[in-house]
Amino acid sequence: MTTTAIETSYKPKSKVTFGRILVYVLLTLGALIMIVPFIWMLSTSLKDQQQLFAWPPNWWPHPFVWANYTEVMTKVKFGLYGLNTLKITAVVTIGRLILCSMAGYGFARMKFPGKNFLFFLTLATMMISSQITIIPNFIIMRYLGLVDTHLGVILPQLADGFSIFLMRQFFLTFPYELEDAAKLDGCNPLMFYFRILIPNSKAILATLAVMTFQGVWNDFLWPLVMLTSPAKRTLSVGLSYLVGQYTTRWDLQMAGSVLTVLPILILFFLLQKYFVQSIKMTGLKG
Amino acid sequence: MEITRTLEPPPSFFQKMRRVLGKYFWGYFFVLPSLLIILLFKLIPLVIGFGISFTNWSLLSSPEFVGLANYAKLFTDPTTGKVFGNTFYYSFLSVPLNLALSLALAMALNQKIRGLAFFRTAYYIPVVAASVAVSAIWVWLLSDFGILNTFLTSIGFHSLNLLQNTKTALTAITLVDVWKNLGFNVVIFLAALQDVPDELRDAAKVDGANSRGIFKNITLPLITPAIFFTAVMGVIGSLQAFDLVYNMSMKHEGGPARATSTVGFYVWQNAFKYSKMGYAAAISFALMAILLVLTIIQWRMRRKWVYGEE
Amino acid sequence: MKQRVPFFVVSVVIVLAMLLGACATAAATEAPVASDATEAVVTEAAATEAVAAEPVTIKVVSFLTYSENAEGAESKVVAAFQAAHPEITVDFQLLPYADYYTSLKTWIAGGTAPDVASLDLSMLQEMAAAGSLADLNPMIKADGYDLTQYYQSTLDMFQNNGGQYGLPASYSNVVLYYNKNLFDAAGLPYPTDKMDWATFMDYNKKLTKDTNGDGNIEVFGTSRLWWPYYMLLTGATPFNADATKCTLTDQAAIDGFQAMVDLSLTDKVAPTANDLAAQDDWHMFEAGRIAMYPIGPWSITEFNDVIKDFDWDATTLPIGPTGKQVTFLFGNAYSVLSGSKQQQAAYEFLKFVTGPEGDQIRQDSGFEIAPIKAVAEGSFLKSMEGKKPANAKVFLDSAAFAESVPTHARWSEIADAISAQLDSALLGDITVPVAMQNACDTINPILAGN
Repeated sequence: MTTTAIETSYKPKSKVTFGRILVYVLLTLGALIMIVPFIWMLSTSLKDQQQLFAWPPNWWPHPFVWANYTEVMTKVKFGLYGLNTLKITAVVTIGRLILCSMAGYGFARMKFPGKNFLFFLTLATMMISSQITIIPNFIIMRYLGLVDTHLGVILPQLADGFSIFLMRQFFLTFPYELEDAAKLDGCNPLMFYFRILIPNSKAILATLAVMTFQGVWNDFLWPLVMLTSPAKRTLSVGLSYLVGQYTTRWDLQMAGSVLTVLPILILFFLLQKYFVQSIKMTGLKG
Repeated sequence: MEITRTLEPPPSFFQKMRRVLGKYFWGYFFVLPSLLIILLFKLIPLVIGFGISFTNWSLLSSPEFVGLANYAKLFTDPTTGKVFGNTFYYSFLSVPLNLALSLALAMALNQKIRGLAFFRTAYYIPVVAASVAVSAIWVWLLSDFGILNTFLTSIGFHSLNLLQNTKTALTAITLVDVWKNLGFNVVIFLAALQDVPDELRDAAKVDGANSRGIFKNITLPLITPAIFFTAVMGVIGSLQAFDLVYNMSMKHEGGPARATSTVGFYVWQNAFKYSKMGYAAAISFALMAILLVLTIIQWRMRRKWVYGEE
Repeated sequence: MKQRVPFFVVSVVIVLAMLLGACATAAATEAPVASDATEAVVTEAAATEAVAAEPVTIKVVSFLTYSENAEGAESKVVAAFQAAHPEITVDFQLLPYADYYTSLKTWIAGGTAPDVASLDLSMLQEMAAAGSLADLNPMIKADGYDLTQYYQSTLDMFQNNGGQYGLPASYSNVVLYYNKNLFDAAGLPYPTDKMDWATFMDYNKKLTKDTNGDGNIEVFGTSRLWWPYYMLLTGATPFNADATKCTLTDQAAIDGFQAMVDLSLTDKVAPTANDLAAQDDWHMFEAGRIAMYPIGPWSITEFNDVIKDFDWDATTLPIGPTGKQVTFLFGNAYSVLSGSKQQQAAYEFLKFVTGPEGDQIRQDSGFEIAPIKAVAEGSFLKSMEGKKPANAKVFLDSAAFAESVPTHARWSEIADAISAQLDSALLGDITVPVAMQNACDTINPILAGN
């Protein structure tokens, strides 16, 4: 299937071939499997308590209960919590893009003693459950006086093995010729990094941005234990307040989930053009 | 270049370091900021965690040193064998499946087709949705009145109680994991495919290479670093699987009858539910030992097939 | 590699030393603080006003009243306390029940423990056993606080080795709701408070129906309660009196759990885990799919709002197969942490928020039942006028035979071991005696301290 796909994209005219139809059919089927649960989420978020667990179940809410959205917005203080979450997420994302792309470049292209050991140490930090490190981390934050601050939530997330590893892998395939040419022009590595490497790595930076944004946006346990003041709470923590000792408001939970997912999907759409870039170029040949 | 001279920093600490470290200066310059964060907030907690694994800390009272007792218990605790078995199954099923599917999808989504933005977003939606919500939805969709069983009964089959059956529950949760994280790897592969220079492909085409040859000799080698990355991360991530097991098993018990309990889940249970932080740490470090071995093997083998590795 | 090993070993040793050292000093300072506070109470018992007059701040965390019906009620309780005790500043945090215990343990371990915390029964017992909670008895004695205003059973729940480790803030008894329309349709008399097990099972079989003949059951006679109920039902215990040996292989325990398994597996009168995945029993009852539903008072508000299609009432849970009648007693308490340096102020807070005034506010918001007799008997029944179940008194009557879940410092571990085996028994993979033997194989080492 994949080879057929490549082939068709290089044909001068996009002919309707069996392979192409197959790709469409498979892609559509797959996309359905991907979005059906999300449609259920949407439909649940528009039902009242009675419809929620109605039997037999209905895909189409009747009537539509838009009040779930207004209720969850007031109950969870979406404005305040959203702003807190945005602040934390934005700082971590920007921080990671800078720090981890730098480290990725260092690990991919530089030579220095202890490089492999340090890189492996970075990887090793991902191999232990966060349940084990969360309390030591909390104690460190207490010593630094950062408990109940957004900075305390942000700092430990500014760099992580995943992002460094990802950046390293992508900088490995960066054409060596460009680096040599830059050196000949008298560029030091910092200038090469800013002027050539970063502008030419938009796709992977966009990828890392989306992934980081998504992960930090949904992060739950760390902000939960770190932020004790209600005014500093994040969205995911706020949403967990809908889970009671005996009952859970699934209608509100789903409405909240839809509202939480939307910003990330919007970001994904915005960054879409960076993923599409190469398509435009290959498209020129069509 | 003119710019070089104007940007040259004045003699400073920065320059002194350059002189001392010589040609290694830039390497350290680029990696140190990240390493500092990692040292302080990842490595030190990890070392403290390692210390905890030699204690009987309950979180509520002071820890006492118990030597290797927690590690010895790994071999006598009947649940440990069960959860490690479950975890390997989880990993062996999800990693290859996710890799194969996401690579195929990325290839398909890297072409000029109609509705590209829609398809790409569709495959990414599960990644961004919160586990709690996604789990609740799948528990419902896999129930007697969910789409799967409604379809099966409508064509005359018995309904499958996937999540309430000790034989199938783990597989069901693993497949939901693949469903949820597929888009993650797709995005990585898409970024990798974008980095494959068109000139190389064009040149090959001029040389008379067919599409199969272009894929095998140009596209595939250039995305091997991304494949290596997803394979290593997939193993590390899946062997620590926790979220979906916690959220999809009834009452967060990792059941039925521990059928879906993974190592990550058992670590959580011991750490926070049973207040056996010392034992939880020991389990976690045992898993880390396995992960280290697996990663070192992958790391050693990378030079044989990953492009750009010296 | 050669360089790494010594560095690693050295750092581990240092960190370990730091860890143990820090904790040792913490423990050493904790104990005197607690006894100081107690002494202070004894010596200055007469001058409580004077002690309380010093401006202090206490940190309080709570998950109480987080039910969506009663949001914020606990904040009102705290506000009332602030009005009555301006000399004590309360730094109050209302937290979600989900992950509440995880956060609390992290804060205790991380050295930012609160002074007062709300706890449910099993959390409280675990923390009391670990020495994390202050015994309130010395302060209660010194103060002459009248405990008889509480239901005794609610106080008993929060005792451990003769110490009182919390004051009850709310409690719940489980009763049996029944759908009158389903009983009328089946031509059966409504269940009474003296219904025996045979009658209960007879009704169950007559009420369970596959109404449309598709092979799936639409209406169930009843639904299963949380498993410890079936142990209490036959008077069985998970372990012997001094908690040294697992006793689940005793006939009483096997009989109890067999009755539970029979409900779903053999007699098929209660929904299985699979049925519940599609629609849980709460919503099944709302939809008229369960005839007799065992549930607590937290259901009252929603059921009154939602159920329009049928008439329903409540009675006590049936008498068990061996002639014993029992119901579950759930409860939440407020406790003072043993590490608190403001024990007296914390105790004042406890007295107020679990006392008549605090209880009244909580009761008015419709959260469970007040442990203060006067509030429960006055306000609870009054608030139920015109609401269902008409027989609201049953919640109070059931207290006569209410028992709480057994407790143990490692109860959650023991409970999970039993629960996992019962899963297999309920699926029909193993028999009840085998399941109990397996459970005991896991539990005995736990009881032995391993």
